[in-house]
Amino acid sequence: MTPGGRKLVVLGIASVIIALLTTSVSLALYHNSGDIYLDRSRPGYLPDEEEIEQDDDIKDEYTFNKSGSINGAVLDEYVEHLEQEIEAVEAYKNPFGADVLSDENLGI
Amino acid sequence: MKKSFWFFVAIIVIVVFAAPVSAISDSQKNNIMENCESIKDTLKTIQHQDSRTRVYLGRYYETILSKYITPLNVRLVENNILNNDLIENQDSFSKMRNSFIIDFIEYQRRLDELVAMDCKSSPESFYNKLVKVRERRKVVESDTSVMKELMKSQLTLVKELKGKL
Repeated sequence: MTPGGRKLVVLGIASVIIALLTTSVSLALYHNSGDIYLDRSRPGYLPDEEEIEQDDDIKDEYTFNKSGSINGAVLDEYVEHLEQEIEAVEAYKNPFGADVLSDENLGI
Repeated sequence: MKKSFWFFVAIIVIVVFAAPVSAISDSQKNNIMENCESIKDTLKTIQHQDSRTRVYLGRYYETILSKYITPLNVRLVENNILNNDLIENQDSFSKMRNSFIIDFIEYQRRLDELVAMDCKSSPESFYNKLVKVRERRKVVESDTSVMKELMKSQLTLVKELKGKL
């Protein structure tokens, strides 16, 4: 093997080792940070069609302005929008309820 | 004679209380071994549903904090209106949201470990792990209840503020 060829092989091996190392570090960070549990692009975690349609329906882009005067009308508008958000949260009836992991539900 | 009697009693007590208490009955053990695969499938489905719920609830919490609670307090300061209750509520909401994020990750980690366990060969360990997962799930459930209360108290405080203006 010529000196040039040897260098090329060394370069190839070094590249593979660096790629493996950086990928391992990335995966470790991805897992340890907990991002893995929020990543819905994982196989089996992809949103279903019904869910995508629901997402499209969300149009409320209300943000309470940080500046301006404070009066009854402003607070009424605030309350109205906040009530809608709370209603949306309350639509999740008993999130993380204990029944789901009960012996009966698991067939134990 | 008396000494030997008490020694005998002490031995009995030690044996009874020191012996590992199995929290799992024979029927539970058999069910775990027989339904191992279906239990794991159910757990995976729960994991997926929880992930979805976490993402949605997290999004709502973030929206409420960044688009409602924080801007209102900034605007109140700008208008020289001091409302300690609303500031405290923001602080509690922010802290609770962080707890929810951390507790959910912890719960999911335990659930991951449970799904990876061999329930056929070690049903007892599997069940003990399940009990731990349930405990972690209860913590997450409690976090969501507190978040709900804090959202409602924000609403009440704003209505009270309106009454004072």
